[in-house]
Amino acid sequence: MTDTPAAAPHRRWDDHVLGRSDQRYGFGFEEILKAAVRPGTPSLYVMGLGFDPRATVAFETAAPLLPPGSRVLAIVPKATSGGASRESAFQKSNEARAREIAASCSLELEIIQPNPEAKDTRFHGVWLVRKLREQREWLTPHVVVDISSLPSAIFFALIRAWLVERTTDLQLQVVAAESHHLDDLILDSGTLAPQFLPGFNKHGSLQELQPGTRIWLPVLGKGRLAQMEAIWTAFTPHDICPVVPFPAPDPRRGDSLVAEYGEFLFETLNVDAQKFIYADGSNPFDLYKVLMTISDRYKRALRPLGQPVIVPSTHGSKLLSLGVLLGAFEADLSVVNAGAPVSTLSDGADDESIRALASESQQTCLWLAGEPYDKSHPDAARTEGHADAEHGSD
Amino acid sequence: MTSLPNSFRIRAAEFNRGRTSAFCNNFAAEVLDSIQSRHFDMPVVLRSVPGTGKTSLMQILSAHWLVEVVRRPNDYEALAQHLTDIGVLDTVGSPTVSGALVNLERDFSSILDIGAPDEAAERIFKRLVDARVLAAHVESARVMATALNDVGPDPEVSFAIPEGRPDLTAVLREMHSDDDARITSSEVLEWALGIETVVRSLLFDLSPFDWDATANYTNDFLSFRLLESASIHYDGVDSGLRVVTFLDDLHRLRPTQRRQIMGLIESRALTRGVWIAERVEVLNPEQLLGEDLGTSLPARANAERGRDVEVIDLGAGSPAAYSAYERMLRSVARKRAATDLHNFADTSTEFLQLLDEQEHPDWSSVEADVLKRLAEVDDARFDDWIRHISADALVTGKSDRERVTDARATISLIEAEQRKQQAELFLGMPLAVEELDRRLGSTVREAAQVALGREYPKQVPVYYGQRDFLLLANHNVSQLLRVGADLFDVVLTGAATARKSPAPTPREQHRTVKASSDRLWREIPARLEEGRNVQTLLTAAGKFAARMNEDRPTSYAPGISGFALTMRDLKQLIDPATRAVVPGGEELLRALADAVANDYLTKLEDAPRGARAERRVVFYINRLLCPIWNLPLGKGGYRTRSLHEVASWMKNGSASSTTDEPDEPLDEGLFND
Repeated sequence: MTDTPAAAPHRRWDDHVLGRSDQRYGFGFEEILKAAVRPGTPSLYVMGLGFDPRATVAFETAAPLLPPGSRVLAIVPKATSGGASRESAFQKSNEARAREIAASCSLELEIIQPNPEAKDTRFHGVWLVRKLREQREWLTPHVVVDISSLPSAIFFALIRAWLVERTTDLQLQVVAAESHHLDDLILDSGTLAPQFLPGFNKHGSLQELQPGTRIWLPVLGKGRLAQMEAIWTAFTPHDICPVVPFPAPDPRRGDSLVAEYGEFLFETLNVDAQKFIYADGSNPFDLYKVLMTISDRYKRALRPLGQPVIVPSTHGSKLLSLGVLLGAFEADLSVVNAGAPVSTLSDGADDESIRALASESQQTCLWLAGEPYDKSHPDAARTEGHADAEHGSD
Repeated sequence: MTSLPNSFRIRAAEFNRGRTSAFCNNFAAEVLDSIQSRHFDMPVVLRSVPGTGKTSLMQILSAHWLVEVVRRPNDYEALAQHLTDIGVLDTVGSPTVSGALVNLERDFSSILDIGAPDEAAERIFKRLVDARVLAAHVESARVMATALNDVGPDPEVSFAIPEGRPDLTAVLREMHSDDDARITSSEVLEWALGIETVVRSLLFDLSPFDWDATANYTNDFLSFRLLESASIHYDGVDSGLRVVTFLDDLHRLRPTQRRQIMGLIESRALTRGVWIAERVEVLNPEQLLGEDLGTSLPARANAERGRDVEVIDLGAGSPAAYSAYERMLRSVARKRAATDLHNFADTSTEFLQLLDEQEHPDWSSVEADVLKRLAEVDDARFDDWIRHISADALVTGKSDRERVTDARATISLIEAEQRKQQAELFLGMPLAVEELDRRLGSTVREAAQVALGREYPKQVPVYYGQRDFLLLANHNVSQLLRVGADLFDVVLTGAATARKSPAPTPREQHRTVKASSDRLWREIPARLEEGRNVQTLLTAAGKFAARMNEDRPTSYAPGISGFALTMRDLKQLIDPATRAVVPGGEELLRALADAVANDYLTKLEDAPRGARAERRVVFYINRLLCPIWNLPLGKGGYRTRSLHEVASWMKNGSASSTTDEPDEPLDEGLFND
């Protein structure tokens, strides 16, 4: 783990494009989004329509920038009971708001209900990709995936499918409204058996990995101990490198996560404190680069013992999950998941404060494929230069 | 805390990964007491709450682990003897059973998550079961070959079918065998790999799936048909091994898939050794809570037994099983701790004994306070009692703890007596000292100990010692390991800091148990979909019991730790029509079922108490949760509540009933340990 590559190979997102509503990394959210829009050519906006109050926050900002006639596919991540629960009320309110926004911006909104047969929501993504592929929207030149209210199993599959299959003529952007305060107010109930995510499974099953050297990179998030225990029990890694968000909007976020998991990580797993990985909680490309570097180093260091199995798992924020997606996509890693079958809003906050937190979310836009990465494009060099200057390199 | 390795923290799953010797070393052979030789030639259903050791039992009987015992019987003497007793090993220590363990958790239920048409989903499911079962048998047969004296090195393994069975020949053909009478292990593995590739592409590839590729799959289980009649051959010679399939985690399947496998048993299509392990959570709430009711609801166990099936509950399902189960728990704890104690603590004392080694050192301030309270009793009828118990400090050989506990118990007995006499308008005569001694039984003393812990929380430890440790396991191996890991950490810390003895103090044990208890509580929502509902029910039940114990510490000594519903009320809860009119009934049914299925509540039917007495079902709080409400661990009592009252707990969030019934006679405890 100490040797450094003489010359790091060029990575797909070494020079990345990222915009945020506070312009922290140089570009604004709307600025980046607008740059990919082709006037007169409808875009495709894919969003989640669950109970998460952030569901329509980024959409509200993005909708006026999309050409009239653009399609909006709003995916309901999980069938609601239709009852009077607080979550149902939020979901209905999100749906009404999405319809309102779409109508006011002349966008065509289609609500996609989840596969009625499915119990394990981790397979919604593969089901949805196969369904979307049959629709004309699949070939839309400008696609925006809003992950604010989309479960990772869905956006991992969608983004991967577009990155793999639409290698030309695709401007792919990902947007998210992020607030770790709200993350903490969404509570998971139950734990699914650990499994690789569709599209991110090069190994078959966790059990089949047992003969190799196993490295686990859990991205820590609040209140996910049962999920982490389940993964550890199934995976039994030889080495563990927990990922904590640092820097993060709350500078103590990393500390509080280490304190929360201290007993599990240090007493049960005997994790070496030097193995902790720090990744910018606001910039998915940072975690992407860390994953690329660490997987490269592990592979080289352990080459005499055979190919190690490096498996990240996501328990933290949407942006960090996106960082895992990008790293796993390029480094060809399997991603394990032990998500919850049910999520609810915490009783610790009332509706008003939850909505207030949602409206204060930081909005982020990542440009993942298209013009900035097209070497023949005259603007490509300028964009790269800017990204480098702002972010530096690994 | 220590960073020394703690064997209690090593989960059974970790032993699956090639550490066969560690698994065999730690396996408590007593688990095999519930198994008989005939079980390997018939369908067996292991059904219990999580953590009772279903997987471990099937694992030790599977080839990979069995061969470890065969190779080194002297290292696992008790285990080898038990395996011989149940016919898994013959008299010369050679295996007679080739067992293949197949876990049904992964991929099977997901087939229904990706939008597969019903018929295709069923065909693919059956083929995947076949592929996993037969591949596991090939692996087992190969491992077994290394343990058989009359088999040469690296033999050709094949499965042979009897002559004159064209139906089985057709099965072999479908699996691409070149031979009408047998299929080789490499042919099986090649065929299984093809199925795995199809399933992997279906579940994990984002590209379109070709449903036509599965259209030629027959809609029947091939593996079970084959294994009903096939025998394992090495180099063409019949091995004589009994073939047993262990299907683990059947509860992970979707109901339709589970029915397809259970249907084989119910239709008697399976008659040879097939073991199925599943959690009781597969039963729906009505079945789970109503199986004892004698209603028209399915009484599964009886139905299954009637069809030449054995249903085994590995938990301590009956009072008769308690002592055997406790023996097994002791054995697990002893084995887990032995090596680490030897390596790190430099002590020859066993872990369980270490828990009893130290006594709480300072009782003086509590004793002074309790004696003062006794002295303040202004009732001449109890003067002899007070004099007698106060003199203990000077004249008896009791320990400090025993003296203080007896003094506190005397206060409770006096209060109970005063309450009783007040109710009876009876002025009373002075009570004899002999009467006090008679009443100061172990249960009253335990109640007093719990009361002291409540009144002096910083001074009096309640939950400590090996008795409490074993009780806190709640007849569940996984829970024993959980509490044991926390307590053993304290022992290892003592060893690492070069204390005079690694034995944990009662205060340390009490604090550790409280922390374990709290953690189990906090984990409930993360483990159960409707965990918060379960917490609501448990909170109300816990508070109800705590209030009862505080108000009447000796009436139900050592105190209650559960509640009961009458059979009539339970039937009302289970019947959808009558349940609908009970506010909170739906939530209660789901919470009760979830809590029972996951061992947060233990459901037991009370023994009938007289011909006219109404039958009741008792729901005891898991003992590891009892410390949250300062409830006793021993000999659990209970109080009967009406359905409407218990259902109202789900709405109100607490047991706030004011309609307290008159005290019932002392209920028999159901944990007679």
